[in-house]
Amino acid sequence: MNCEQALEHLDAVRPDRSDLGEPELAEARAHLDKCPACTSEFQRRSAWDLQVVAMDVEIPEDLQARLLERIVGHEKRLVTDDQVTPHPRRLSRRFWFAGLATTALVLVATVAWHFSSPATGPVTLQQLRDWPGDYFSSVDDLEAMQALPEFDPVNDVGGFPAGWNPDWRLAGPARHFPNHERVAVMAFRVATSRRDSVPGILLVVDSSDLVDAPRAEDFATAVPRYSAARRFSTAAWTNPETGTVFVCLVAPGHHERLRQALEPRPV
Amino acid sequence: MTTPRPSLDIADLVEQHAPLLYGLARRLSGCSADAEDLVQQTFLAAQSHGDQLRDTKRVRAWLCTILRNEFLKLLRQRGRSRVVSIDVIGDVSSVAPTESPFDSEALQQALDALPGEFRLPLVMYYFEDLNYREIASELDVPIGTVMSRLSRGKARLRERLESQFSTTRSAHTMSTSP
Repeated sequence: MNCEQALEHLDAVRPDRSDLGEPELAEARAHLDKCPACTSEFQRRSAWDLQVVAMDVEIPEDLQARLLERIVGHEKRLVTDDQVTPHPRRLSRRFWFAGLATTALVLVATVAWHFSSPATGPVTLQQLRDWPGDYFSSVDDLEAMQALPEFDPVNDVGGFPAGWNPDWRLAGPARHFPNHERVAVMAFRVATSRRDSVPGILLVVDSSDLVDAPRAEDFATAVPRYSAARRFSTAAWTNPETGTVFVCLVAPGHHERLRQALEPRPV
Repeated sequence: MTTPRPSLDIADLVEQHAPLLYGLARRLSGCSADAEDLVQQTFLAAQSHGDQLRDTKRVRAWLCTILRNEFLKLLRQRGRSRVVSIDVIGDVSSVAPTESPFDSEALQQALDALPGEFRLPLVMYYFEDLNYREIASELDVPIGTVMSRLSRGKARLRERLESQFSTTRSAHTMSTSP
């Protein structure tokens, strides 16, 4: 094996040289033992390879959220396309089914609205996770936030969780969803580095207004769950001292970044 | 007629693998918009063909394979696949400078300039962390072919980056001289 052949084989070796012992490379290894020029060139190329491996691609901050949005949008379009191209002979039957389904949906929606209105009693944690999807296009939709009615603080509800910096709060006073006056809604943004931050929405409610208060006692131990249609990553916890429940919503993929940003730093 | 529900949780896949796939797609396509489209197509394909994944531990490799196939499809659609026979590519001088500092953008430009058959194994080697055996198995080509493509692809990459570096350095010298 000459120098050129040896170097061609050695170019296939992983930058960390973990596969240098493979049988296909035995001759190239033997060549290295007797050729200082190739040994030096191999070292130079390995160093160069390590430089290439270290080159990171900059990942867009909201990549996962945007991808999920696009995938969900694609699925919806597929469903719509399927619905607008009915078989001609089935048209009238479909028409009647559609009429029946619409009536049923209206009934279900009316019943759901009736039971979800504040007059009918406590709400569920899942409702809290899902409601923001009806009002916000994204977690940093401050325009939508400011369009909501202003929240009237009850039982000290409406504050930030213990340990959260009040400066993270955005868009003025807390708001509430129409017909859900006992749930405070606020926007926040937590810096994760000098240039980067995680925006989110925080819902605050007293545990007595909830059917199923979460067991977690802080954000760090709350298990993230998706909201309806997987639009937001949500985490819910109850402050055991005050009985206040917090539901934090961030874009999918941002929960872990927020958790790391909120981790107490050693002094 | 309804399509069968996917057995994979697409949101989990996106959360766990999107950054890796985007990095690979960016290196392969050279363009962030194409990269995002490729990753989206990868997840949609994964969702439709989730039943083909036999071993869930291999989901990363499986997604990378789908991404590569989507990239090759994109090349074919755009007619950008400049198929160059390995035989017509000349030998590269083994004489090389001692140091070649470059940045990520310069690397991307050098990768973009490579024909697909060199770029693909190089991206698999550098950024998918695969060895030459695994690359040969994934691309279904002999080990010798992979070794040759890696060597020639790397030589072209080095040549381009080193010439870029020397151009930048001479321009810098000229601009800083009084």
